[in-house]
Amino acid sequence: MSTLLARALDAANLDLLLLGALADRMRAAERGDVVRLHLDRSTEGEALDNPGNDAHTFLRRVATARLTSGGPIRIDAESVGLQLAQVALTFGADELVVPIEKLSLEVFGTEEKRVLRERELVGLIRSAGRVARIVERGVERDPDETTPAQRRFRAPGRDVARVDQGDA
Amino acid sequence: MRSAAFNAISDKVRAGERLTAGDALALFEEPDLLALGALANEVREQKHGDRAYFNRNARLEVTNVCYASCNFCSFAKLEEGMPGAVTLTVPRAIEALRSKVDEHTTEVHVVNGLHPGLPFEYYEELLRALASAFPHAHRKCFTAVEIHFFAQHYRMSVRQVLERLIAAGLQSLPGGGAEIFHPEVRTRIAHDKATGDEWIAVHRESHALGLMTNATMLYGHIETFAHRVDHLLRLRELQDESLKLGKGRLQAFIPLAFHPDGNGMQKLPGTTGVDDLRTLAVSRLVLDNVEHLKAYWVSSTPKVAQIGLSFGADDVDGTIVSETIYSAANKKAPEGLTVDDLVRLIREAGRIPIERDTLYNVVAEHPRAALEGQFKVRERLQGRHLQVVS
Repeated sequence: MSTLLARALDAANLDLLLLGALADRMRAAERGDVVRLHLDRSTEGEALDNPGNDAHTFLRRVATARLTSGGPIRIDAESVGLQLAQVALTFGADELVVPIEKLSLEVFGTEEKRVLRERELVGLIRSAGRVARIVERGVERDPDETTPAQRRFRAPGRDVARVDQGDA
Repeated sequence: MRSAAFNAISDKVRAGERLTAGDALALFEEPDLLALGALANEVREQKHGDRAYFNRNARLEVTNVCYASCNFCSFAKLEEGMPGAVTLTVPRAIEALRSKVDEHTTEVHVVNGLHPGLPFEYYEELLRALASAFPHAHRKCFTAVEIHFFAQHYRMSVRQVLERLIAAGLQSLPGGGAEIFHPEVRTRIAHDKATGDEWIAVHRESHALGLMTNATMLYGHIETFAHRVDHLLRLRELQDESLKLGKGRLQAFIPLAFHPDGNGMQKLPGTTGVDDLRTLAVSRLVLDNVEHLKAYWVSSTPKVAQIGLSFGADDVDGTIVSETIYSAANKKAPEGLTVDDLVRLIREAGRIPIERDTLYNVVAEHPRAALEGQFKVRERLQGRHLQVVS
Protein backbone atom coordinates (compact mmCIF):
# COMPACT_ATOMS: atom_id res chain seq x y z
CA MET A 1 0.00 0.00 0.00
CA SER A 2 2.63 2.49 1.05
CA THR A 3 4.79 1.60 -1.96
CA LEU A 4 1.80 2.26 -4.21
CA LEU A 5 1.21 5.60 -2.52
CA ALA A 6 4.89 6.46 -2.87
CA ARG A 7 4.68 5.66 -6.58
CA ALA A 8 1.54 7.72 -6.99
CA LEU A 9 3.15 10.67 -5.22
CA ASP A 10 6.20 10.31 -7.41
CA ALA A 11 4.05 10.20 -10.55
CA ALA A 12 1.99 13.21 -9.45
CA ASN A 13 5.28 15.14 -9.31
CA LEU A 14 3.87 17.67 -6.85
CA ASP A 15 5.59 20.97 -6.32
CA LEU A 16 8.33 20.52 -3.70
CA LEU A 17 6.84 22.97 -1.23
CA LEU A 18 3.33 21.58 -1.63
CA LEU A 19 4.60 18.07 -0.97
CA GLY A 20 6.58 19.41 2.00
CA ALA A 21 3.58 21.26 3.40
CA LEU A 22 1.46 18.08 3.23
CA ALA A 23 4.18 16.10 4.97
CA ASP A 24 4.63 18.81 7.59
CA ARG A 25 0.89 18.78 8.42
CA MET A 26 1.00 15.02 8.74
CA ARG A 27 4.10 15.18 10.92
CA ALA A 28 2.40 17.71 13.23
CA ALA A 29 -0.72 15.55 13.52
CA GLU A 30 1.07 12.21 13.96
CA ARG A 31 4.22 13.09 15.82
CA GLY A 32 3.74 16.53 17.39
CA ASP A 33 6.51 19.10 17.70
CA VAL A 34 9.15 17.01 19.45
CA VAL A 35 12.39 16.36 17.57
CA ARG A 36 14.56 13.56 18.94
CA LEU A 37 18.24 14.30 18.60
CA HIS A 38 20.29 11.08 18.66
CA LEU A 39 23.84 11.81 19.74
CA ASP A 40 25.00 8.30 18.79
CA ARG A 41 23.93 5.48 16.51
CA SER A 42 22.78 3.14 19.27
CA THR A 43 19.06 3.41 18.39
CA GLU A 44 17.86 0.90 15.82
CA GLY A 45 16.25 2.05 12.62
CA GLU A 46 17.28 3.52 9.32
CA ALA A 47 18.23 7.16 8.81
CA LEU A 48 17.83 8.95 5.46
CA ASP A 49 21.13 10.14 4.06
CA ASN A 50 22.27 12.39 1.22
CA PRO A 51 25.94 12.38 0.43
CA GLY A 52 25.57 14.29 -2.87
CA ASN A 53 24.50 17.84 -3.63
CA ASP A 54 20.94 17.10 -4.75
CA ALA A 55 18.99 18.49 -1.83
CA HIS A 56 15.80 18.77 -3.87
CA THR A 57 15.45 15.02 -4.42
CA PHE A 58 16.44 14.40 -0.83
CA LEU A 59 13.66 16.62 0.56
CA ARG A 60 11.17 14.88 -1.74
CA ARG A 61 12.32 11.57 -0.26
CA VAL A 62 11.85 12.88 3.27
CA ALA A 63 8.34 14.21 2.55
CA THR A 64 7.32 11.05 0.68
CA ALA A 65 8.61 8.91 3.54
CA ARG A 66 6.45 10.87 5.98
CA LEU A 67 3.37 10.58 3.79
CA THR A 68 3.76 6.88 3.09
CA SER A 69 4.95 5.42 6.38
CA GLY A 70 4.06 6.00 9.99
CA GLY A 71 6.57 6.34 12.81
CA PRO A 72 9.71 8.39 13.07
CA ILE A 73 11.42 9.84 10.00
CA ARG A 74 15.07 10.03 10.89
CA ILE A 75 17.77 12.08 9.15
CA ASP A 76 21.46 11.21 9.12
CA ALA A 77 22.67 14.76 9.70
CA GLU A 78 26.28 13.72 9.31
CA SER A 79 25.86 12.89 5.62
CA VAL A 80 23.09 15.42 4.92
CA GLY A 81 24.77 18.40 6.54
CA LEU A 82 23.32 20.28 9.50
CA GLN A 83 21.81 23.08 7.44
CA LEU A 84 19.81 20.82 5.16
CA ALA A 85 19.01 18.44 8.03
CA GLN A 86 17.37 21.36 9.81
CA VAL A 87 15.36 22.20 6.70
CA ALA A 88 14.26 18.54 6.52
CA LEU A 89 12.51 19.05 9.87
CA THR A 90 10.01 21.26 8.03
CA PHE A 91 9.50 18.58 5.34
CA GLY A 92 8.20 15.86 7.66
CA ALA A 93 11.27 14.67 9.56
CA ASP A 94 11.21 14.38 13.34
CA GLU A 95 14.51 12.77 14.30
CA LEU A 96 18.14 13.73 13.70
CA VAL A 97 21.18 11.52 14.12
CA VAL A 98 24.38 13.44 14.86
CA PRO A 99 26.94 11.08 16.36
CA ILE A 100 28.54 13.61 18.64
CA GLU A 101 30.66 11.11 20.59
CA LYS A 102 32.72 10.37 17.54
CA LEU A 103 32.92 14.03 16.69
CA SER A 104 33.85 14.97 20.20
CA LEU A 105 36.75 12.57 20.24
CA GLU A 106 38.03 13.21 16.76
CA VAL A 107 37.30 16.88 16.25
CA PHE A 108 36.66 18.62 19.51
CA GLY A 109 38.80 16.75 21.93
CA THR A 110 37.51 18.51 24.99
CA GLU A 111 34.36 18.06 26.96
CA GLU A 112 33.59 21.76 27.01
CA LYS A 113 33.39 22.00 23.26
CA ARG A 114 31.22 18.90 23.23
CA VAL A 115 28.70 20.63 25.47
CA LEU A 116 28.80 23.69 23.22
CA ARG A 117 28.15 21.45 20.24
CA GLU A 118 25.16 19.86 21.96
CA ARG A 119 23.70 23.28 22.70
CA GLU A 120 24.26 24.37 19.13
CA LEU A 121 22.34 21.34 17.88
CA VAL A 122 19.48 21.98 20.31
CA GLY A 123 19.47 25.62 19.12
CA LEU A 124 19.15 24.40 15.54
CA ILE A 125 16.01 22.43 16.44
CA ARG A 126 14.52 25.27 18.47
CA SER A 127 15.12 27.83 15.75
CA ALA A 128 13.12 25.58 13.43
CA GLY A 129 10.25 26.14 15.89
CA ARG A 130 10.40 22.69 17.48
CA VAL A 131 10.97 21.04 20.84
CA ALA A 132 14.24 19.15 21.30
CA ARG A 133 14.76 15.88 23.22
CA ILE A 134 18.19 14.30 23.43
CA VAL A 135 18.70 10.55 23.09
CA GLU A 136 22.05 9.20 24.12
CA ARG A 137 22.98 5.55 24.74
CA GLY A 138 19.31 4.69 24.50
CA VAL A 139 18.33 7.16 27.25
CA GLU A 140 16.10 10.11 26.44
CA ARG A 141 16.39 13.40 28.30
CA ASP A 142 15.38 17.03 28.26
CA PRO A 143 18.27 19.16 26.93
CA ASP A 144 17.82 21.66 29.77
CA GLU A 145 18.35 18.93 32.30
CA THR A 146 22.08 19.22 32.94
CA THR A 147 24.48 16.34 32.97
CA PRO A 148 27.43 16.33 35.39
CA ALA A 149 29.72 17.38 32.54
CA GLN A 150 27.50 20.35 31.79
CA ARG A 151 27.33 21.32 35.44
CA ARG A 152 31.10 21.50 35.54
CA PHE A 153 31.13 23.55 32.39
CA ARG A 154 28.30 25.90 33.26
CA ALA A 155 29.51 26.77 36.73
CA PRO A 156 31.07 30.25 36.86
CA GLY A 157 34.33 28.74 38.16
CA ARG A 158 35.57 25.20 38.46
CA ASP A 159 35.86 25.58 42.25
CA VAL A 160 32.13 26.13 42.50
CA ALA A 161 31.51 23.03 40.41
CA ARG A 162 33.72 21.03 42.69
CA VAL A 163 31.74 22.20 45.72
CA ASP A 164 28.54 21.11 43.96
CA GLN A 165 29.95 17.68 43.37
CA GLY A 166 31.23 17.51 46.89
CA ASP A 167 27.71 18.14 48.16
CA ALA A 168 26.40 15.35 46.01
CA MET B 1 -0.25 26.93 11.44
CA ARG B 2 0.23 30.05 9.35
CA SER B 3 -0.66 33.27 11.13
CA ALA B 4 -3.55 35.59 10.31
CA ALA B 5 -1.03 38.32 9.54
CA PHE B 6 0.50 36.04 6.94
CA ASN B 7 -2.79 35.59 5.12
CA ALA B 8 -3.29 39.36 4.98
CA ILE B 9 0.25 39.78 3.60
CA SER B 10 -0.36 37.07 0.98
CA ASP B 11 -3.39 39.02 -0.23
CA LYS B 12 -1.26 42.15 -0.53
CA VAL B 13 1.45 40.33 -2.46
CA ARG B 14 -1.06 38.81 -4.86
CA ALA B 15 -2.67 42.23 -5.38
CA GLY B 16 0.76 43.62 -6.24
CA GLU B 17 0.80 45.94 -3.23
CA ARG B 18 4.05 47.01 -1.64
CA LEU B 19 4.91 45.51 1.76
CA THR B 20 5.55 47.71 4.80
CA ALA B 21 8.28 47.34 7.43
CA GLY B 22 5.67 45.75 9.69
CA ASP B 23 4.76 43.22 7.00
CA ALA B 24 8.41 42.36 6.45
CA LEU B 25 8.98 41.82 10.16
CA ALA B 26 5.89 39.61 10.37
CA LEU B 27 7.28 37.53 7.48
CA PHE B 28 10.61 37.04 9.26
CA GLU B 29 8.64 35.83 12.29
CA GLU B 30 6.17 33.65 10.37
CA PRO B 31 6.28 30.14 11.80
CA ASP B 32 5.13 28.40 8.61
CA LEU B 33 8.35 28.36 6.60
CA LEU B 34 6.92 26.46 3.64
CA ALA B 35 3.94 28.80 3.25
CA LEU B 36 6.40 31.72 3.23
CA GLY B 37 8.54 29.94 0.66
CA ALA B 38 5.56 29.16 -1.54
CA LEU B 39 4.49 32.82 -1.55
CA ALA B 40 8.00 33.95 -2.50
CA ASN B 41 8.03 31.28 -5.17
CA GLU B 42 4.84 32.68 -6.71
CA VAL B 43 6.58 36.04 -7.14
CA ARG B 44 9.72 34.35 -8.42
CA GLU B 45 7.79 32.40 -11.04
CA GLN B 46 5.87 35.49 -12.13
CA LYS B 47 9.18 37.25 -12.76
CA HIS B 48 11.28 34.40 -14.11
CA GLY B 49 9.13 31.33 -14.72
CA ASP B 50 11.25 28.21 -14.34
CA ARG B 51 14.47 29.92 -15.35
CA ALA B 52 17.43 29.80 -12.99
CA TYR B 53 20.58 31.72 -13.83
CA PHE B 54 24.26 31.12 -13.35
CA ASN B 55 27.43 32.44 -14.93
CA ARG B 56 31.05 31.55 -15.51
CA ASN B 57 33.15 33.89 -13.48
CA ALA B 58 36.60 34.05 -12.03
CA ARG B 59 37.45 35.86 -8.85
CA LEU B 60 40.55 37.75 -7.94
CA GLU B 61 41.63 39.46 -4.75
CA VAL B 62 44.74 41.52 -5.52
CA THR B 63 45.42 42.41 -1.91
CA ASN B 64 44.23 41.23 1.48
CA VAL B 65 45.97 44.09 3.25
CA CYS B 66 43.16 46.13 4.79
CA TYR B 67 43.11 49.01 7.20
CA ALA B 68 39.53 48.21 8.28
CA SER B 69 39.08 45.79 11.15
CA CYS B 70 35.63 44.27 10.62
CA ASN B 71 34.88 41.66 13.27
CA PHE B 72 33.28 39.22 10.84
CA CYS B 73 36.21 39.03 8.44
CA SER B 74 38.60 36.09 8.29
CA PHE B 75 40.23 37.29 5.08
CA ALA B 76 41.99 40.58 5.72
CA LYS B 77 45.45 40.95 7.13
CA LEU B 78 45.79 44.39 8.62
CA GLU B 79 49.23 45.41 7.47
CA GLU B 80 51.72 44.73 4.72
CA GLY B 81 54.38 42.36 6.02
CA MET B 82 52.08 40.50 8.41
CA PRO B 83 52.11 36.71 7.98
CA GLY B 84 49.80 35.81 5.11
CA ALA B 85 49.57 39.36 3.78
CA VAL B 86 49.65 39.35 -0.02
CA THR B 87 49.59 42.17 -2.56
CA LEU B 88 49.96 41.29 -6.23
CA THR B 89 51.61 43.52 -8.79
CA VAL B 90 49.47 44.10 -11.88
CA PRO B 91 51.43 41.58 -14.03
CA ARG B 92 51.22 38.99 -11.21
CA ALA B 93 47.47 39.60 -10.90
CA ILE B 94 46.95 38.98 -14.61
CA GLU B 95 49.12 35.88 -14.42
CA ALA B 96 47.10 34.60 -11.45
CA LEU B 97 43.91 35.03 -13.48
CA ARG B 98 45.22 33.31 -16.61
CA SER B 99 44.78 29.88 -15.07
CA LYS B 100 41.18 30.66 -14.08
CA VAL B 101 39.89 32.46 -17.16
CA ASP B 102 39.16 30.65 -20.41
CA GLU B 103 37.30 31.72 -23.56
CA HIS B 104 33.95 30.91 -21.92
CA THR B 105 34.52 33.06 -18.84
CA THR B 106 32.19 36.04 -19.04
CA GLU B 107 33.10 37.86 -15.84
CA VAL B 108 36.09 38.81 -13.76
CA HIS B 109 35.08 39.72 -10.23
CA VAL B 110 37.70 41.71 -8.31
CA VAL B 111 37.35 42.78 -4.67
CA ASN B 112 40.14 43.73 -2.32
CA GLY B 113 41.20 44.88 1.09
CA LEU B 114 41.49 48.63 1.70
CA HIS B 115 45.23 48.96 1.12
CA PRO B 116 46.52 52.31 2.35
CA GLY B 117 49.88 52.08 0.53
CA LEU B 118 48.99 51.71 -3.16
CA PRO B 119 48.69 54.63 -5.59
CA PHE B 120 45.30 55.14 -7.24
CA GLU B 121 46.96 54.56 -10.61
CA TYR B 122 47.50 50.96 -9.55
CA TYR B 123 43.75 50.29 -9.84
CA GLU B 124 43.47 52.09 -13.17
CA GLU B 125 46.39 50.10 -14.50
CA LEU B 126 44.80 46.88 -13.20
CA LEU B 127 41.55 47.61 -15.08
CA ARG B 128 43.37 48.42 -18.30
CA ALA B 129 45.44 45.24 -17.98
CA LEU B 130 42.29 43.16 -17.39
CA ALA B 131 40.65 44.73 -20.44
CA SER B 132 43.60 43.95 -22.64
CA ALA B 133 44.28 40.43 -21.31
CA PHE B 134 40.64 39.28 -21.14
CA PRO B 135 38.60 41.54 -23.42
CA HIS B 136 35.65 39.09 -23.44
CA ALA B 137 35.26 39.11 -19.64
CA HIS B 138 33.10 41.78 -18.04
CA ARG B 139 34.95 43.70 -15.33
CA LYS B 140 32.89 43.76 -12.13
CA CYS B 141 35.30 45.33 -9.71
CA PHE B 142 35.53 47.06 -6.32
CA THR B 143 32.80 47.16 -3.71
CA ALA B 144 31.22 50.45 -2.66
CA VAL B 145 33.38 50.27 0.46
CA GLU B 146 36.51 50.32 -1.72
CA ILE B 147 35.17 53.14 -3.89
CA HIS B 148 34.39 55.16 -0.77
CA PHE B 149 37.88 54.42 0.58
CA PHE B 150 39.47 55.54 -2.72
CA ALA B 151 37.56 58.82 -2.53
CA GLN B 152 38.72 59.50 1.02
CA HIS B 153 42.23 58.20 0.68
CA TYR B 154 43.09 59.80 -2.66
CA ARG B 155 41.13 62.99 -1.92
CA MET B 156 38.62 62.83 -4.72
CA SER B 157 34.84 62.85 -4.86
CA VAL B 158 33.07 59.51 -5.31
CA ARG B 159 32.03 60.67 -8.77
CA GLN B 160 35.63 61.47 -9.75
CA VAL B 161 36.78 58.05 -8.55
CA LEU B 162 34.04 56.32 -10.53
CA GLU B 163 34.66 58.38 -13.67
CA ARG B 164 38.35 57.59 -13.64
CA LEU B 165 37.75 53.89 -13.04
CA ILE B 166 35.09 53.75 -15.76
CA ALA B 167 37.52 55.43 -18.14
CA ALA B 168 40.06 52.72 -17.25
CA GLY B 169 37.56 49.93 -17.96
CA LEU B 170 35.28 49.41 -14.95
CA GLN B 171 31.92 47.99 -16.11
CA SER B 172 29.90 47.31 -12.98
CA LEU B 173 30.12 47.13 -9.19
CA PRO B 174 29.70 43.99 -7.09
CA GLY B 175 27.38 44.15 -4.08
CA GLY B 176 29.82 43.51 -1.25
CA GLY B 177 30.53 45.62 1.80
CA ALA B 178 26.87 46.32 2.56
CA GLU B 179 26.90 44.06 5.68
CA ILE B 180 24.07 45.55 7.77
CA PHE B 181 23.39 49.25 7.16
CA HIS B 182 21.82 50.10 10.50
CA PRO B 183 24.33 51.98 12.69
CA GLU B 184 23.38 50.01 15.82
CA VAL B 185 24.93 46.98 14.17
CA ARG B 186 27.40 48.53 11.76
CA THR B 187 29.29 50.48 14.41
CA ARG B 188 29.83 47.21 16.30
CA ILE B 189 30.91 44.97 13.42
CA ALA B 190 32.46 47.35 10.89
CA HIS B 191 33.17 50.66 12.57
CA ASP B 192 36.02 51.93 10.41
CA LYS B 193 34.76 51.68 6.85
CA ALA B 194 31.96 53.26 4.79
CA THR B 195 28.74 53.74 6.75
CA GLY B 196 25.43 52.47 5.43
CA ASP B 197 24.58 55.89 4.01
CA GLU B 198 28.00 56.15 2.36
CA TRP B 199 27.62 52.69 0.82
CA ILE B 200 24.25 53.68 -0.61
CA ALA B 201 25.63 57.01 -1.85
CA VAL B 202 28.29 55.18 -3.89
CA HIS B 203 25.65 53.00 -5.53
CA ARG B 204 23.40 55.98 -6.17
CA GLU B 205 26.29 57.76 -7.89
CA SER B 206 27.20 54.61 -9.85
CA HIS B 207 23.64 54.24 -11.06
CA ALA B 208 23.58 57.90 -12.12
CA LEU B 209 26.69 57.18 -14.21
CA GLY B 210 24.92 54.24 -15.85
CA LEU B 211 26.62 51.40 -13.98
CA MET B 212 24.74 48.28 -12.96
CA THR B 213 25.43 47.14 -9.41
CA ASN B 214 24.47 44.39 -6.97
CA ALA B 215 23.72 44.55 -3.27
CA THR B 216 24.38 42.15 -0.42
CA MET B 217 23.39 41.74 3.23
CA LEU B 218 25.53 39.89 5.75
CA TYR B 219 23.09 38.30 8.19
CA GLY B 220 23.06 35.83 11.03
CA HIS B 221 25.44 37.52 13.48
CA ILE B 222 24.37 40.15 16.02
CA GLU B 223 21.60 41.80 14.02
CA THR B 224 17.87 41.46 14.70
CA PHE B 225 15.12 40.87 12.15
CA ALA B 226 14.29 44.58 12.45
CA HIS B 227 17.82 45.45 11.28
CA ARG B 228 17.42 43.15 8.28
CA VAL B 229 14.10 44.78 7.43
CA ASP B 230 15.69 48.23 7.66
CA HIS B 231 18.47 47.05 5.32
CA LEU B 232 16.01 45.74 2.73
CA LEU B 233 13.89 48.88 2.82
CA ARG B 234 16.90 51.15 2.33
CA LEU B 235 17.84 49.16 -0.76
CA ARG B 236 14.27 49.30 -2.07
CA GLU B 237 14.28 53.07 -1.63
CA LEU B 238 17.62 53.41 -3.44
CA GLN B 239 16.27 51.29 -6.29
CA ASP B 240 13.12 53.45 -6.54
CA GLU B 241 15.31 56.51 -7.04
CA SER B 242 17.57 54.80 -9.56
CA LEU B 243 14.71 53.38 -11.59
CA LYS B 244 13.18 56.85 -11.75
CA LEU B 245 16.46 58.17 -13.14
CA GLY B 246 16.49 55.32 -15.66
CA LYS B 247 20.25 54.75 -16.02
CA GLY B 248 21.96 52.16 -13.83
CA ARG B 249 20.22 50.10 -11.14
CA LEU B 250 20.57 47.22 -8.71
CA GLN B 251 20.43 44.02 -10.72
CA ALA B 252 20.54 41.43 -7.99
CA PHE B 253 20.26 41.14 -4.24
CA ILE B 254 22.47 38.56 -2.52
CA PRO B 255 21.93 37.67 1.13
CA LEU B 256 25.19 36.38 2.61
CA ALA B 257 25.14 33.96 5.52
CA PHE B 258 27.62 34.92 8.22
CA HIS B 259 30.26 32.29 8.88
CA PRO B 260 31.88 32.30 12.25
CA ASP B 261 35.22 30.50 11.89
CA GLY B 262 38.55 32.25 12.04
CA ASN B 263 37.24 35.75 12.77
CA GLY B 264 36.46 37.99 15.70
CA MET B 265 32.93 36.66 16.10
CA GLN B 266 33.62 32.94 16.20
CA LYS B 267 31.64 32.36 19.36
CA LEU B 268 28.43 33.04 17.46
CA PRO B 269 26.63 29.99 16.09
CA GLY B 270 26.31 31.08 12.44
CA THR B 271 23.20 30.80 10.33
CA THR B 272 20.97 27.81 9.84
CA GLY B 273 19.37 26.35 6.73
CA VAL B 274 15.93 27.50 7.86
CA ASP B 275 17.17 31.05 8.38
CA ASP B 276 18.89 31.06 4.98
CA LEU B 277 15.68 30.02 3.22
CA ARG B 278 13.54 32.39 5.26
CA THR B 279 15.85 35.31 4.43
CA LEU B 280 15.72 34.51 0.72
CA ALA B 281 11.92 34.33 0.78
CA VAL B 282 11.42 37.59 2.69
CA SER B 283 13.96 39.36 0.46
CA ARG B 284 12.05 38.25 -2.65
CA LEU B 285 8.79 39.57 -1.23
CA VAL B 286 10.09 42.88 0.08
CA LEU B 287 12.44 43.84 -2.78
CA ASP B 288 9.66 44.05 -5.35
CA ASN B 289 11.73 46.38 -7.56
CA VAL B 290 14.92 44.30 -7.76
CA GLU B 291 14.85 41.81 -10.62
CA HIS B 292 17.10 39.03 -9.39
CA LEU B 293 17.67 37.24 -6.11
CA LYS B 294 20.78 35.16 -5.70
CA ALA B 295 21.17 32.08 -3.53
CA TYR B 296 24.95 32.34 -3.34
CA TRP B 297 26.08 28.73 -3.02
CA VAL B 298 29.46 29.61 -1.53
CA SER B 299 27.78 31.22 1.44
CA SER B 300 24.84 28.89 2.01
CA THR B 301 26.27 25.57 0.68
CA PRO B 302 25.20 24.14 -2.72
CA LYS B 303 22.45 22.07 -1.06
CA VAL B 304 20.67 24.99 0.57
CA ALA B 305 21.24 27.16 -2.53
CA GLN B 306 19.46 24.53 -4.60
CA ILE B 307 16.45 24.56 -2.27
CA GLY B 308 16.65 28.36 -2.39
CA LEU B 309 15.51 28.12 -6.01
CA SER B 310 12.11 27.10 -4.59
CA PHE B 311 12.12 29.87 -1.97
CA GLY B 312 12.33 32.92 -4.22
CA ALA B 313 15.87 32.78 -5.64
CA ASP B 314 16.42 32.70 -9.41
CA ASP B 315 20.21 32.71 -9.54
CA VAL B 316 22.94 30.60 -7.96
CA ASP B 317 25.87 32.83 -8.93
CA GLY B 318 28.73 31.33 -10.84
CA THR B 319 31.39 28.72 -11.15
CA ILE B 320 33.68 31.01 -9.13
CA VAL B 321 37.07 29.65 -9.89
CA SER B 322 38.98 30.40 -6.69
CA GLU B 323 37.24 32.24 -3.90
CA THR B 324 39.29 33.12 -0.86
CA ILE B 325 37.10 35.25 1.38
CA TYR B 326 34.63 32.60 2.50
CA SER B 327 37.28 29.91 2.34
CA ALA B 328 39.27 31.93 4.86
CA ALA B 329 36.37 31.33 7.23
CA ASN B 330 37.04 27.58 6.83
CA LYS B 331 33.82 26.99 4.97
CA LYS B 332 33.36 23.40 3.95
CA ALA B 333 31.88 24.44 0.60
CA PRO B 334 33.89 23.29 -2.41
CA GLU B 335 36.07 25.99 -3.91
CA GLY B 336 34.52 25.97 -7.35
CA LEU B 337 31.60 24.21 -9.01
CA THR B 338 31.88 23.28 -12.67
CA VAL B 339 29.28 24.27 -15.23
CA ASP B 340 28.08 20.66 -15.24
CA ASP B 341 27.68 20.78 -11.46
CA LEU B 342 25.61 23.95 -11.65
CA VAL B 343 23.48 22.73 -14.55
CA ARG B 344 22.78 19.48 -12.72
CA LEU B 345 22.00 21.31 -9.46
CA ILE B 346 19.48 23.55 -11.21
CA ARG B 347 17.87 20.75 -13.22
CA GLU B 348 17.47 18.57 -10.16
CA ALA B 349 15.55 21.47 -8.64
CA GLY B 350 13.14 21.28 -11.58
CA ARG B 351 14.34 24.55 -13.12
CA ILE B 352 15.80 25.46 -16.49
CA PRO B 353 19.48 26.39 -16.27
CA ILE B 354 20.28 29.62 -18.09
CA GLU B 355 23.87 30.63 -18.44
CA ARG B 356 24.04 34.42 -18.32
CA ASP B 357 26.64 37.14 -18.51
CA THR B 358 27.02 39.79 -15.80
CA LEU B 359 24.23 41.93 -17.27
CA TYR B 360 21.85 38.96 -17.52
CA ASN B 361 22.13 38.57 -21.27
CA VAL B 362 21.59 34.92 -22.11
CA VAL B 363 24.79 33.13 -23.09
CA ALA B 364 23.34 29.62 -23.38
CA GLU B 365 20.21 27.79 -22.36
CA HIS B 366 20.39 24.25 -21.16
CA PRO B 367 16.88 22.89 -21.77
CA ARG B 368 15.58 20.05 -19.68
CA ALA B 369 15.50 17.72 -22.68
CA ALA B 370 19.27 17.77 -22.70
CA LEU B 371 19.13 15.96 -19.38
CA GLU B 372 18.11 12.78 -21.15
CA GLY B 373 21.00 13.16 -23.53
CA GLN B 374 18.65 13.63 -26.50
CA PHE B 375 20.13 16.96 -27.46
CA LYS B 376 23.43 18.62 -27.30
CA VAL B 377 23.38 22.29 -26.60
CA ARG B 378 25.66 24.39 -28.66
CA GLU B 379 26.77 27.30 -26.60
CA ARG B 380 27.24 30.60 -28.30
CA LEU B 381 29.10 33.23 -26.45
CA GLN B 382 27.37 36.38 -27.52
CA GLY B 383 24.15 34.86 -28.85
CA ARG B 384 20.79 35.36 -27.26
CA HIS B 385 19.11 32.48 -29.01
CA LEU B 386 18.92 28.90 -28.12
CA GLN B 387 20.50 26.48 -30.52
CA VAL B 388 19.73 22.84 -30.15
CA VAL B 389 21.45 20.35 -32.39
CA SER B 390 20.50 16.71 -32.26
